[in-house]
Amino acid sequence: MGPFSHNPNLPRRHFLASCGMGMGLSALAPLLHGRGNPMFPKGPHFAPKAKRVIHLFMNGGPSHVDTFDPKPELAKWHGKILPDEHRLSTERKTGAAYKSPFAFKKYGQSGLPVSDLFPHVAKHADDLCVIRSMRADVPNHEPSLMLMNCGDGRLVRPSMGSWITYGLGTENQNLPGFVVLCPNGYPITETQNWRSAFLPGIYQGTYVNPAKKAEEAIIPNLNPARSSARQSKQLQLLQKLNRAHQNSREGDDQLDSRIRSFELAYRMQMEASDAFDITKESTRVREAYGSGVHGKQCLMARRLVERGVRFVQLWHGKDQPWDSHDQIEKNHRRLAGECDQAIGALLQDLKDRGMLEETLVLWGGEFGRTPTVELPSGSNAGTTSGRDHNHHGFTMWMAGGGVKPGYVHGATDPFGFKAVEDPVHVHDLHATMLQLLGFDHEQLTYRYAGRDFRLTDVHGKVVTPLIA
Amino acid sequence: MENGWSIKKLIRTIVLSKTYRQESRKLPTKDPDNLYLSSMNRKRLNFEAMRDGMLQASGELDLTMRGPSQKLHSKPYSKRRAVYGYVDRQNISPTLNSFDFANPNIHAPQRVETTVPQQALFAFNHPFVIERSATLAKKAFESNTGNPSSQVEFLYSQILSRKPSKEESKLGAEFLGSDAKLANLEDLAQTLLVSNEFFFTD
Repeated sequence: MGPFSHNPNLPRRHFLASCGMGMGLSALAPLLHGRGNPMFPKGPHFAPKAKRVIHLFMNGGPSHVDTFDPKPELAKWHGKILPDEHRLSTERKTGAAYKSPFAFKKYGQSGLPVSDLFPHVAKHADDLCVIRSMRADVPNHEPSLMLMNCGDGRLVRPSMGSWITYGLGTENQNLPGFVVLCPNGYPITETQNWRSAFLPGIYQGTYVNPAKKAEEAIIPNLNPARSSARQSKQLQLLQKLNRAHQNSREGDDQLDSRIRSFELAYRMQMEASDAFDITKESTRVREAYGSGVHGKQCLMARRLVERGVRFVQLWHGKDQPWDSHDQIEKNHRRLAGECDQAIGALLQDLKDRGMLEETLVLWGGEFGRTPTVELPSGSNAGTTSGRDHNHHGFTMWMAGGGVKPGYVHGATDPFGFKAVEDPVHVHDLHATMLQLLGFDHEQLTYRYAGRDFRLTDVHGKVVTPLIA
Repeated sequence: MENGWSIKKLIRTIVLSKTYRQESRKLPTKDPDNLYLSSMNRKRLNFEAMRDGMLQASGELDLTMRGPSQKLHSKPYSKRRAVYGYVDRQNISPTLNSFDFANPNIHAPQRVETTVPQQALFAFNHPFVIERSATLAKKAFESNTGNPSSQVEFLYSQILSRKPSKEESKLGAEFLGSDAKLANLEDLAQTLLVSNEFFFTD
């Protein structure tokens, strides 16, 4: 642990004492530390394997039996009602077993089976750590999104990105520490997915619409309202007046912090726009990611983590694109087609730049889908070609960031309905992710309303087999 | 207790006390953390007070009471007090969030206080701030045509409720330049509106 404890409430005097001879450093302390800068990079509890996170959120719930969890039994039982002990209830009524319309192939040294939906991702089979035994609490989108992002389905709790930014600060003070990308609008439950709740507001995710052109406002108030000549003249006068004001009021860190925040903001205006400008990349790189909005946002994500952003969350799209209650073959093929190349390129690019080792990539939805066909009702009236939500068992994968590569963890039952072998609850996933980032998930806490809160609340076990 | 547990009366007693009415300009040497309240702790304005203060300085604050809530962050900007602001509990405005607004979905005994560049970006670039400085510049221009030092004096008294010092007067006049452009007045008004002296109270 460096001189900066993970605890932002550590008294300043403590810090000064820990500086020893470093008067030069201690003179900077009020600018960088404590009340002055809640985003200053902080060391975690122990040496981390991952330093940053990219969360690829396939919102709506991708079907695991059609992507990373092949179930040959389903083909045998296709059109037949599953044995009683394997029939589980989900949000809507489902009927007979429904075989996957997609063909699986084994990839890489590890022989990881991946369906033909994700050929580009499959090229990185030997980097993936696939958890086939994920489980959540309920088969509904809203609470499952909240559970996946904030660790609780019902209560107002901070998001995982907020917790991690709170714990680690961020490496680039000219960019937000936690950035959320979602093309064309918000997902279901909207900004609650990246809320800071009782943590300070600065830890909330900053929403960016990657479908917008670069010159449009990306971060609120980022576009300078005045020409740079006018603004720099303003800044000079402002800082002169503020220093004079401060000199007659000795020793107040708050005044100093605010003076410094204007200098940071001035720089942020330039550097943040640059980070989101993918036209600065070579044609070769841009072609590798593909021309669609997913290529664009995956490339933005790489540019952001490269510049020190701590947590980037990418959503497939607004609302819940992966929610294929109907015509799963057509819809899943379209959805995977939109993002497969971009995700494959992102993994390759991170590897090429030597960044994958310290970047934890997480892929998945808020739950999976049923191996049984959804019966006609509501929006899919008259058709039996889709799958319902499934929280009993589903698949997520991680890559980089110290996870065990080319590894499959846990298993669902022979039909893919329920996690039966080494189940991993969402709380366990959170605990494991925090472990990879160097935190004891029971010790990363924030005192609110009279007690210490944590991302995993009173749950969560680190799943050590997932760690390399 | 004597006053029937009246919170109102308690608050009145506190704010009228000598301790509360002290200023915070000097930090006492014997008590650097001010544990004994020998002076006032310096206070910073929260978002609502800062916003209302800007409207007050530009002479635009609408003190109408009651009525439905007003959207604070979209044009045309409401000029009513921020206490009448509309708060979307599902999607809390990023502006409010960056200024440590209390989350309305949970109980919040105290607001955290952070100082982050997003707040300074608001001060530099938000159209609300730009509008207020334009109003102030127009007023300064109309009431003191062509006289930079009285324009500076006008802006100081509107925004900081005091006269500028000799040094400040000189700085301000230099900033405005000889051609007395409205744009320079706007920039000066904005600079004072976002200064530490405006944002903190002694």
